[in-house]
Amino acid sequence: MQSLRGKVAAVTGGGSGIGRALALAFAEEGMDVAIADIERDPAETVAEEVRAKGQRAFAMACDVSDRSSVGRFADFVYNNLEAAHVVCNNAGVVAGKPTPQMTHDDWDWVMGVDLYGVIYGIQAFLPRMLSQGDEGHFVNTSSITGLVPWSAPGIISYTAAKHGVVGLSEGLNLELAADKIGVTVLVPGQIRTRIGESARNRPTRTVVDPQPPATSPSSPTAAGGAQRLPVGAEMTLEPEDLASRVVGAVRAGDLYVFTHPATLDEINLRFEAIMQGYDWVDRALAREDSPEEA
Amino acid sequence: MDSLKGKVAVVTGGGSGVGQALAGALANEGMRIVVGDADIKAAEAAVADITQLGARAIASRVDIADRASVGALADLAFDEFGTVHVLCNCAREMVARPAAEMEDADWGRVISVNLDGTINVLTAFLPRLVAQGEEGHILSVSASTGLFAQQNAVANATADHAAMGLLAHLNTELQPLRIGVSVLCLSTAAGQDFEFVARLALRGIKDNQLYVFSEPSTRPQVEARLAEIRAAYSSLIRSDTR
Repeated sequence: MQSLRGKVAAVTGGGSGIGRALALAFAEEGMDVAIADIERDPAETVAEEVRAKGQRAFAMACDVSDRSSVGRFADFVYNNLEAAHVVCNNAGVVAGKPTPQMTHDDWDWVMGVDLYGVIYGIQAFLPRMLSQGDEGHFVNTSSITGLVPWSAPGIISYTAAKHGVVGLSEGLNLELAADKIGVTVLVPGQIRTRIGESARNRPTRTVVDPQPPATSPSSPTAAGGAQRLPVGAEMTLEPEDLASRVVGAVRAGDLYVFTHPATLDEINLRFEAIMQGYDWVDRALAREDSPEEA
Repeated sequence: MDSLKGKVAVVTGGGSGVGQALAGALANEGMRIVVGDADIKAAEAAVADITQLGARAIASRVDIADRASVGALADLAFDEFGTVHVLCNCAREMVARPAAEMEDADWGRVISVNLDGTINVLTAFLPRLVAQGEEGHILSVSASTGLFAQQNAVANATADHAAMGLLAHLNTELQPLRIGVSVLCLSTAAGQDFEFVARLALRGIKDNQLYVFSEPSTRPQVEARLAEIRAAYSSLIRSDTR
């Protein structure tokens, strides 16, 4: 989408962190912005910052893990701003404990916000964007954890959700190109946000030891599995730096936004583990073919 | 895990397809089997085949998307046999529809079985499996939709990538506890030889192999995906040094 001026951006989790930076970056490009956040006051503060840039802005309290709440946000965007061109499914949280101790309650919150929230965003906005007939773009916030399962304990739900966001984004990108709808998935390393304080918004407030994945203690790389954080990936970037890359990616129609060059090493290791699976099956098939060993 | 003889396996989706074939293959190794399936008649038929071979097996109706139902299956297995060593989650949904035509119910069918179902099985079985302190293995079926983008498969891309990441993480977390993990990637094409896939899965369990691909022809698509990711990184590195 080359031209952003005069168009409408909608951002979930827009009250802080990456979402706030996206809202402000799109406002800077001359877009009007709708901001959803589980916390109404920070969303309204960001809306005021957008208005200070001379753009229209509206804020709404929204729990993205609730399908009907996301539906109301889409209604809110179309009622107030008449369209949606760039939809950022960004809201995210992290929490967890060792997997054998995880209850449904532990799974539900992270999966609900980090993955189902993105699905609900697609379900609520895509049909309207298609019938609107304009160029459109989805920006989905994943994480390097969406491609690389770190060995840090307590982040299995975050890892699953962020992998899901990458898969969803790649699939949509493949299918929606013909409909003039682009997709960008954010696959950042460490960004300076308040995600480590996610527990402040957990409904039941029973979180044990919330920890942002990219700063968690790590253990050595295990064959075929999760990996430790590479040197250089610990460098923390500001959300504004990520947001400016996202604006460029939306204009260019880029699928991926990465932030930390060092994380490519870890992606390579993950794919090596997958390729080892193909090598293994090739050997197993060779054994199948030799009758004396079958 | 090397030795399966005398141990206990639970196979969900065990009434038909690859689940049924795998239940038979595990029984053939001398395991006792719990066959769970949404279709109790199919589960009972699978059990009849197994018991005819002289192995012990019981059938149970289970709705993998229903937490209470999966919890009841775990209770049944541990009540009946006192232990579970191998857990095979073979229930799977596939919806082939263009992304633009997907309805909420289409998403729900895929997510509730392929992702929520996997989580339900883990939540029901893993605490007891870990507490018994013995060797174990968890196998879950997936497909190439969890590895690279394909047309008309957006809900599967979402659920299957999520389950793939989940299981890869789980593999590392459970390794010190001597519990292995396998992702059995089935073909998305019809007409797969389930007996062959079951033999492959059995070998995967014995070899403690994480990725078990029954469709080796998909390798170039995975390589192409990696190439695209690398290309995005090279433009990142160029913009950093600009």
